[in-house]
Amino acid sequence: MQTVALGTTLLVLASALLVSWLVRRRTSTKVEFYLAGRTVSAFLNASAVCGDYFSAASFLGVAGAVYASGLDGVWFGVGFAGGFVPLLLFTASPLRRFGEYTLPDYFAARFESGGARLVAVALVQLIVLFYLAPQMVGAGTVWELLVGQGMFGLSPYATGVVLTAVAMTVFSILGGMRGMTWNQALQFWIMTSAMALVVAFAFAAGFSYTRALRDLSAGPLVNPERWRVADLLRPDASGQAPADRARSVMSESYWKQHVEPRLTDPRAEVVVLMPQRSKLRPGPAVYNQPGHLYSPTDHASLLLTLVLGTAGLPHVVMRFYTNPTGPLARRSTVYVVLLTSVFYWLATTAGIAGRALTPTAAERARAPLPVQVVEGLLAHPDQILPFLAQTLGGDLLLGYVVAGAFAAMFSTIGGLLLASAASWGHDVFEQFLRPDAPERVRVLVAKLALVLMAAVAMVVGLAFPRVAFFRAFPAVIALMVSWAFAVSASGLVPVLLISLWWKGATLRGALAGMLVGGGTCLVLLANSFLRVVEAYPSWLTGLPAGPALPTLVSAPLAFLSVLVVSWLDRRNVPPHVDEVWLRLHGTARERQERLLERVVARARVAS
Amino acid sequence: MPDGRLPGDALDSLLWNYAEFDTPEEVDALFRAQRRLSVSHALLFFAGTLLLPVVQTVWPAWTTSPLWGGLTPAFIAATVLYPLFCLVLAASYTMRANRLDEDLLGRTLWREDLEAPWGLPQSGGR
Repeated sequence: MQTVALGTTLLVLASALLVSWLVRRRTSTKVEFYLAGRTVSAFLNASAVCGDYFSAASFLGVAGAVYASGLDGVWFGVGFAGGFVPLLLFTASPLRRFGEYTLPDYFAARFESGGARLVAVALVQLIVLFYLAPQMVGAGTVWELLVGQGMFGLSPYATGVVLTAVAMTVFSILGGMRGMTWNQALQFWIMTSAMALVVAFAFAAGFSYTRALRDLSAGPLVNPERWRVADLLRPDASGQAPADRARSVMSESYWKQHVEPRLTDPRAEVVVLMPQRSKLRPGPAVYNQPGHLYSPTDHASLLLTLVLGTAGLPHVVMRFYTNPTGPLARRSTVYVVLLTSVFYWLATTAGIAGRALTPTAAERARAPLPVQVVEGLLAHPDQILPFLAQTLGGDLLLGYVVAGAFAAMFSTIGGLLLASAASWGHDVFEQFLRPDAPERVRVLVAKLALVLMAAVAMVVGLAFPRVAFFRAFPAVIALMVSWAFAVSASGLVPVLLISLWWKGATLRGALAGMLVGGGTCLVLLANSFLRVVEAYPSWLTGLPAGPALPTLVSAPLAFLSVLVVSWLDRRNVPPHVDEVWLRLHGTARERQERLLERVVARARVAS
Repeated sequence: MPDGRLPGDALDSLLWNYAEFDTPEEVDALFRAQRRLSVSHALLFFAGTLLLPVVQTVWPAWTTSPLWGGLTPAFIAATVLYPLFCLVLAASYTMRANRLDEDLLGRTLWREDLEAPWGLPQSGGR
C-alpha cells in the first residue's frame, strides 16, 4: 500500500466534503440544488466546467493514449478541447437564455411534447451511463494500483469502484450544484497542478520534447500486447506466426525468461512486444506520425465525435444553465477553451515524457507500483501518469497525482450523477408522475434518483469486461468515454443544433433525428462491443466491422432525418415557435434580471 | 416579477415602470445576424478540423518531415496550432456575438412622468 499517496487522496476527499458541508444550507430549493441559483461567475464556472469535463479519460487516458500511440493519441486531447467551439457557436447562449433545468426540458418546450422529453431523457441516461462506466473502471484501476488491497471481502478493483460510488453520492447529495461547482473548480485546479508538476519533474529529469520525439520516432512503433498463446503461435496467411514478429523486436533474454516458459499452455495469456502497423500507409507505424490507431476515415470519425459530442453532454450543458446571462455563458466558454488547451498540452507532454523516460525510470523506482513493465514499456498505458510521478518525484508526487486522478473521476461522476438525477427527478417525476409535488418532495426525489443512478453506475463498473477491452485497446479509458460522445453527437446534437437555429424543425423531425441518430450509433457500437468481448453471434460474422466510432455515419443520418422529416412535416411547425424564439434569442429577460439586481443592491445600500 | 424576486414593496412600482422588452421582429433580426455569425465561424472551424486528416493523407511530407527535433508539421499543428486556432475563433466569435446582442437589442420603456430612480436613463430607446 502506498501510504503517502493514500493520505493525499483522503485529504482531497475531506476538502471536497468540507465544501459540500459549508454550502449545504443553500440547497433547499430546486434551482439551488440543480443550478446553484444561476449566479456562478464566468471564471468559476469555466473552472467547474473543466472539472466536470476532465474525467479519468482526460487525466489518465490522454497521457496513456499519447504514451501508446504518439500523434494519434494527441488527437483525443485536441478533440476534447475543440469540442467547446461548436458548443460556444451554437448552444451556450441560447440554452442559457432559455433558462430551464435540463436538455429534455428544452426539447419538451421547443416541440410542446412529452414524447420528445422522454426520448431525450432516454438518450441523456444512456450518455450518462456510457460516461460513468469508464470513470468507474478508472477508479477501480487506480485503487488497484495505489492500495492493492480490497475491503469488505471485495477485490481491490471492486473496492475502488464501490468506495468511489459511495463517496460521490454523499458529496452530490450534500452539496447539490452549488457544492458541486466549488468541488469541481477545486478539483480542476488539483488535477491541472498535478499534471503540471509531473511535466515539470520530467523536464527537471532531463526530458527534451523535441529530442524525445526524434528518438522515439527513429524506428517502428513497438507496444506491449496481451495474447493467448494459441493465437500467438498460429501462423497467419503469410506463414509467419505473431510470435515470430514479437521475437524480432524483443531481447532474447526476456523472451527466454518471461515468455517461453508460458508457451506450453495454449490457453495461457502472455504479454509480448509487437511491432505496430500503420493504418495510413503500408509499413510500420511511427511514433510521431499518424496511422497507429486510425485510418483517415477513423481519424475523421474520432474528430467529428469529439467536436460534435461535447455540445450534447448533459452534465456540461447543465453547467451552462448556471451562468447568470447569455454573454457570460459565451465568455465562460472562451475561458474553457483556454483552460482545456493548456491542460491537454500538459497531458500530451506527460505522455511523451512517459514514453521517453519509462525505460530508465523503471530502474530508479524505490517502492515500485504493481505495474507490468515489458522491456521498459508499460503493459497498461493508462498507468503511465502515476508510474511517472512515483519514479520522478517519489511517493509525495505520486500521492498528489493520484489525488488528481480521483479528483478527475469525482468531479465528473458528481456532475453526471447530478445531470442524471435532474433528468429523472425533474423530467420524469415532476412532469409525468407528480406535477403538483411540493418543492421539498421534488428535491427529495432528485436525491433518491441520484442514489439509484450511483448504484447502477457501480454495478456497471463492477460488471464491465475490462480484461477483454484491455486486450483489444491500448488506452481503453479514453476510448470508452468517446462512446458517450458518439451517442451525444448522433442522438442529441443534430436535433439540438437544428432546432435552436431553424424555426422549421418539427416534433416528428426531432423524434426522427433522435431515434435514427441514437439508434444507428447504438447498433454500430454494439457491433464493435460484441466483437471485442467475443460474444458476436455467428450468423452476423459476415457483417463489416465498421469505423472505430460510428459518428461519421450516424450523425449525418441524424441531421438528414431532422431536415427531411421536418420538411415533409412542414405544416406542423409548432405554433408557439415565435414565443420560444423570444426566450432563446431575446435578451429582455436577462436585462430585466440585471436591472432588478442593480435596484435591489441600491435599495440595500440606501436602507 | 421575474423569478419571484421581491426587492421590497416600495420599489415595485418603480421597477414595473422601467421595463426591458424585445419585439419578435427585433429578436428575429438578431437571430438571423447571430446565425450568420455562428455559421461562418462554424464553417471555418469544421474546415480547419477536417482539413487535418485530409492533409496528412494526401501530403506525406506533412507527417514525415521533421522541422525541429522530432516535431513534424502534423505534430506542431495538433499540439499548438489547432488549439490556438480554436482559441482565436472562440474569442473572435464571443466579442462579435456579444456586440450584436448589444447593438440589436436593448430597448427599455420608462414612463416619462416619473423620475428615473438611482441614475437609470430616463428616456426609452436603445
